[in-house]
Amino acid sequence: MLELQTSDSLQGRWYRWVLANGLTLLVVDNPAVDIVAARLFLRPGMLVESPSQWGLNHLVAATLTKGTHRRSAQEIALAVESLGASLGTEAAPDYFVLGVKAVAGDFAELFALASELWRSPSFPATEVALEQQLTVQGLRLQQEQPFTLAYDQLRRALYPNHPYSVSTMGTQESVLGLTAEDLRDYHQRYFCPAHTVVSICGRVEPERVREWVERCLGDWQVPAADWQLPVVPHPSPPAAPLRLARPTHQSLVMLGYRGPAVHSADYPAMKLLSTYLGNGLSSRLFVELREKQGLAYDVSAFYPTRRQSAPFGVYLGTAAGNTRLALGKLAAEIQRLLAEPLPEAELLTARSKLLGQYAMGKQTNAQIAQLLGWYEVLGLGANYDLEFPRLIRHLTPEHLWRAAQHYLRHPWVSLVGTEAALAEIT
Amino acid sequence: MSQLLCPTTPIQTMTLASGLQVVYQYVPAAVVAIDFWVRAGAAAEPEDYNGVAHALEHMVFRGSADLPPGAFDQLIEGHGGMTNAATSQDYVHYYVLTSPEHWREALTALADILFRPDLDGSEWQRERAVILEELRQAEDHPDWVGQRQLWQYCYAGHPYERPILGTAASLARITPEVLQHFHRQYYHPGNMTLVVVGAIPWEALMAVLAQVCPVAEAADSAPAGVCPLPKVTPAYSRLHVPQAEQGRLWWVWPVTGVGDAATGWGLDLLATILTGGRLARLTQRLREELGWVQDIDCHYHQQVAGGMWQMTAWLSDDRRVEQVEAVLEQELMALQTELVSREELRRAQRQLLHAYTFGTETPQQMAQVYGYYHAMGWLEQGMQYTQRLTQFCPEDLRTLAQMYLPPQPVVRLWLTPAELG
Repeated sequence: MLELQTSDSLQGRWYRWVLANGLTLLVVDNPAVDIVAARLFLRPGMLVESPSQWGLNHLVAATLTKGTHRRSAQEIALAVESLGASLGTEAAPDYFVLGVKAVAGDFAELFALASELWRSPSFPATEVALEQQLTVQGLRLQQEQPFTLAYDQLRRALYPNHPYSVSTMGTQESVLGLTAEDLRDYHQRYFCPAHTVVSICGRVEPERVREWVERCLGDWQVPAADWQLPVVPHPSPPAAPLRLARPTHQSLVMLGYRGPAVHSADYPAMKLLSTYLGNGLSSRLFVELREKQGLAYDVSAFYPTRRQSAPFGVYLGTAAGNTRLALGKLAAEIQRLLAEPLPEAELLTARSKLLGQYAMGKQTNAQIAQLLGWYEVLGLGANYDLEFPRLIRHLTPEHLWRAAQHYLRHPWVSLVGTEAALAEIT
Repeated sequence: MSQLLCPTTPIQTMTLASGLQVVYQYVPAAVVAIDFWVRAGAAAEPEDYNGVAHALEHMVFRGSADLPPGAFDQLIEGHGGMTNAATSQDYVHYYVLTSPEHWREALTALADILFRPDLDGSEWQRERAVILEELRQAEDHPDWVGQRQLWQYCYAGHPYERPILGTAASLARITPEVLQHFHRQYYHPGNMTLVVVGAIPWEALMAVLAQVCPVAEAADSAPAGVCPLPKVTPAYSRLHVPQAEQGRLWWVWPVTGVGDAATGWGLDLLATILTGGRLARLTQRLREELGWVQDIDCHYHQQVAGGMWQMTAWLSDDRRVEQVEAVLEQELMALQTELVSREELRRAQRQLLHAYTFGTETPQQMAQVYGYYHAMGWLEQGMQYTQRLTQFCPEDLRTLAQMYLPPQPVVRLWLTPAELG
């Protein structure tokens, strides 16, 4: 355990097997606590959804635990809650995941249940109808947040007709168009061992875990699905800002860009730029716009890790009267990155911060299982856990400058605020 | 390997000569959590200066004479660590997560900005603007707006009724002198607890603390006494929030006179039986069977002067609010009149015990739990959690429900996007 936790990476601590049916299994033995976490991943998630199916994976996630060919929703809930375990599902843009967590002694029983859900969900029509309604309400609830409104507006413009243009919950229209039959068809076609990655971390004996996974999933035979990734559109930024008038107390000001996919050679540089700009109390935007100018409480950057071109953005929430000023300041910070390479010292701080936070993101068994499984699903392999810090350490100010020049020249501006605040922006 | 499997080492507590209380546990992890708890939350504020506790929390991060603005953040994050703070009604806590190589300088720097912050006028001008933005952002969140209203009803006439962030008017009254006065009064070792969890030796920790802690000042160093809660007038109110996309219903019971941790755990068990999982009574009926709520949650929040047991329902359809309330009332009535089955109780106990295990996996989580229990004066009881929680029997829960959760709540609030009719 000491080795595992004190080294920067999980190198040498994980086992990888591919079962005869094509399923990939990753196991990390971490005896530090009496907890075992497992994540079952499926490629490629939302990326295979056509616009009329947006939200399909989310609805599968909401109903996968609501019945199998052998158990009712009640029986499944009883099995999980009697163990005091946790079991959850999530549709992410690039994958679908089922996560479980239990004390070590309960893990085998819980994993058997998870495998049953994975292989043979029944998607009862009444449960699908209920979750459909609740999803539509969830979409409405998201619209309360100025950040979500600005982000939605941005991604619709960045990725027209592509799954990245909407929340994984889909749109009201697409969700209401789905049926239980659609969910069954989807499961039948895409859930298969060749595209399943099982990642387990905790107080386990790797060989015994492997035997158990073999027993639960080894005889699962479904032909490998094949699919094509969606075409990523290449729109140009509009001449005028995107704007949405809402009677909010704050204006949300966001600049967005089309950043690279995780497989791109520019991915590490953009990750570091995002950290430099918006991560933590010492980040550039925090210091300049919050500490020095008092323009915002929440000011940050985002650049999620994605299989296809990922959105890159900076944003802040500010008083209506400061909307124009804040937009100018945000834009000036990006311009500064384009003008010349950053001072070496600033890059070093950002690097330490990124690497430190990366290491801190691997403290719990669930975090470790998630990270390794995700890398496997993305096709990077669990070794990327070692590779990523190495790539970050090799970056120079020139790398960041070139990446900024390439990706951050033309922003999409997204604004949410009162009519009066927006009227000031031309 | 065997020594690594040793699940926990003992928790040590000690009061130093400076008056600082220390809670410490050696855990062989890569991250060290350092967490200062100061008994100077919003309830300790003079009424005119509501928001000063939270404002001081912000100002501490602006540094000291030795650490100018930004230097502290740079020091912590430049070593790959992170830092933040939180203000509640009872306390403020400041934490740093760092590595076993850098904990000394992190602790020294954190103590420096805590004990000797530079509460300069122009810095405060800038930070006040930041807090006003924080306030505006909160006002755009219907859940925050509703919660603030609930506190006003539940704690009318008590310091807890005031918003932790303050108001635009009260923030305008706060000057550097007000901040300095509040700091002098409460930010001394005798009014603080330091929680440290990580792979650092006790002796080394003591050596650093001997250097960084000022000697206690005798004058005006009494901690804030929090007065008991007043009797609450029952209230039912409807709040119109046009930007809300969905209605919320709150039912709240202020809980007073709780002198031990176990009563709170019993109230947690009741909350778990009602909404802790898909099988839980209210979740099952209102979400799974009827679809009348998008979500529903019960929880108990204990504070020094008294707690609050609250239900929150995110309504699927505001027109059903009365039907939802009828179900809530039935289920509460059932808890007072019928015994929970042993099976249902065992399930709730197991869920809470495992939630505790899952929630204390990292040094940060552990420090947070120890700090909270210590602030409540219940650290020793807290360590008996497993044994005590499993002792509850169905009769105990019925008694607790009868005592604290009558089927008509004390405060009801319905937040709705609809115009008042």
